[in-house]
Amino acid sequence: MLKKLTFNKYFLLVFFFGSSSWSPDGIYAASKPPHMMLNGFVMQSYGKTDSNNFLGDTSSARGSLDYTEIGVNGFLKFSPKLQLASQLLSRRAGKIDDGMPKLDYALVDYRVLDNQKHGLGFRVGRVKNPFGFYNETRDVSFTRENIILPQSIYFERTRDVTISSDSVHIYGHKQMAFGLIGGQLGAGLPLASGENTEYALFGVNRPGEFSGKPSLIGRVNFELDNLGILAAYSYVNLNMEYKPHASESALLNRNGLVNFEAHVFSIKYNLIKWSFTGEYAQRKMSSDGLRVSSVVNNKTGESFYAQAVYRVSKRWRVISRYDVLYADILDRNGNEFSKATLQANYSRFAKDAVLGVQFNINRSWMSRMELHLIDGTAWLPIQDNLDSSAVVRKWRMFNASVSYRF
Amino acid sequence: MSIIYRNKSAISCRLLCRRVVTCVFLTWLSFGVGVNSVAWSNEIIVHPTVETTLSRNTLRSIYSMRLQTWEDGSGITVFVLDPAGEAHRSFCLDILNIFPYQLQRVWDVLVFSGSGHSPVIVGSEQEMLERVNQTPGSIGYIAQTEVAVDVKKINIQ
Repeated sequence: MLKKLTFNKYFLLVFFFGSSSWSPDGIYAASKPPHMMLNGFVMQSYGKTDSNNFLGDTSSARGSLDYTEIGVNGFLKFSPKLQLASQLLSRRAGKIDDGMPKLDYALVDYRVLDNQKHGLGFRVGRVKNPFGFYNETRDVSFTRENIILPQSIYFERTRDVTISSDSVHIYGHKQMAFGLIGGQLGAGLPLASGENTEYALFGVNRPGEFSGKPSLIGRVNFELDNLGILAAYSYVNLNMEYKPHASESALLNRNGLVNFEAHVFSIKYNLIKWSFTGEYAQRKMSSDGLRVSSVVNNKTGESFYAQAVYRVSKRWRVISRYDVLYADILDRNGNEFSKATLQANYSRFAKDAVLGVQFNINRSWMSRMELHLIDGTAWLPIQDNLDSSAVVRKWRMFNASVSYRF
Repeated sequence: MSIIYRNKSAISCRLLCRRVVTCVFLTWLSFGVGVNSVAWSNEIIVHPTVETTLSRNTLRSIYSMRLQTWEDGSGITVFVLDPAGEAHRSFCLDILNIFPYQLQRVWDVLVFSGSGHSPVIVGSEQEMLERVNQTPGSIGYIAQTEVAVDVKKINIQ
C-alpha cells in the first residue's frame, strides 16, 4: 500500500531496483507497464518467560529481544495476466533463525482466465505454501491477530519445511450464487535443509543434511460474498530425505525418506465488532527408513484453537485464544510415552491460554502486548531449551511488540 | 402569567434539548464508539471508457483485487480514499457490504504473500476524480455528487 513516497522509501526503492522507472507519485506512476510496487514491514518483539525459553533467552531476568521480523517485497505487473513477485525476509528468532536474509518467495504468476465468474492461473517459483488461514503471511505481524501465532498449528519447530516450496501451483475460483469457492494446488520441493528440521525430527542437530523431495500441498476455500464466513480445508503431504554424514550410516535402515502429512480445517466468522476463528488439524510424521524412535514415529497428532477478537474502537483490539496441541491422539496426556522413555509426559502436549491487546497507532505503526498461560511443552523449540532438565511443565510468557509497515 | 409562560417554555426547551442530545448520543452509540453518524452517499466513478453497470459481486471482486480485467480484457486500476477514513468505511459498509477490516486483510495477504497487490490510495476526492479521469480502465468512488471533471458514474445492479 503506497500513498506517498517518502525519502526513506525512495532510498529503499532505488537500492532495491536500481535504475528503475519508479517515480514518487505512487504505484502506477509509470505510464507504461511494468507497474512496480514496493512494500515492507518490520517487527520487534520483547519476550519474557518465568521458565523455559521461547524465541530467545526469555527466561533470563531481563527477558529477550531476540525476535525480529524484517521483510521487503517487490511486485512487478507486466499486464493483468503476467506478474512477478519476490520477498526477502530477515528473521531473528532465538536459536531458530539468526536474521540471515532469505528468499521468502520469488514467483511468476500467469493468469489464464479472469472474468466475473471464474479465475484460473499458475504460479511458478518459490511459492508460499497455502496452509490454514495464516501460513502464507505468518511472518507479517499485520496479517496476524497476535504476536505469537497459535503454535499448535503454526509450529516454530517445523517452520522451514512448511513455509514455502520451490514449486508449481495452479489456482482458481468460481463465483457461485451464495459465495465463492476457490482452490490452490502445488507440487514441488519443500525447503527442508537446515538444522531446524533435524531438531524437529531427531531432537538434535545431526551432521547429515535433509533435502526436499516431491511433495503436494493444496487448499480449497469457501467464502460468503460479504466475507462474513470463511472456511477452508488444507492438505499437506511433504517429503524429505536425510542424507547422513559418512560417520552415521548406522542411522539408516534402507533410505532416509520422511513423510509429513496434515489435514487442516479452518473457519472464521466475522461481525463488525467481533471475529471468531477456529482451526483444527491432524498430522502425522513418519519414516520407514530412518531409525527414528518408535515413540515419535508414525504417531498422529492433533491441534486446535479457538480465537476471539473484539474491536473496541478503530484503534484498540482485544484478542483471546485457547490453543491445544497433542503429540499423539492415542496418548494425549503423554503417560505411555513417559513410561516408554522415562522422559516427562508434558513434552507431549501443550495448552496455551492467551489474552492480548492491540493498539493501532496509525496505518503504518501498530503495537501489541499479550500474556500466555501455558501447560505443557510440546511446541517448545528444542534449540532454545537444550538443557531439558531445566524445562518445566507450567510456564507463563509475556510479549510486547512494535510493528511498522510501508 | 407571561412570566410563568416563559418559564414553562424555557423548561420544555431544556427538556427538548436533553431529549435531542440523548437521541443523538444513543444514535452515536448504536454506530459504535469512534464512529460519527455523518451520512455519506458514495458514488462509484469510472474512467469514461469503462462499462456503466456492475453487479455488487463484480464490484466486490474488483475491490478485493481478485478480478483484474474488464470484460474486453483491458486491465482494471483500483483507487481508494484513505482506508482509515469515514468515506472509505461508508463505501465498504454501504456499497460493498464488507467490513473495512476484512478488505484490508484481503489486501495485506495479497501484498505479503506475493499473490497480488493492493489498490492505489489517493489523498482526496479531488485527486480521486483526477486520477480516475486520467487512468484508462480505472475505478474509484467519491462521497460528493457533483463532479466537474470527465468521469462516468455507474449503477450497481
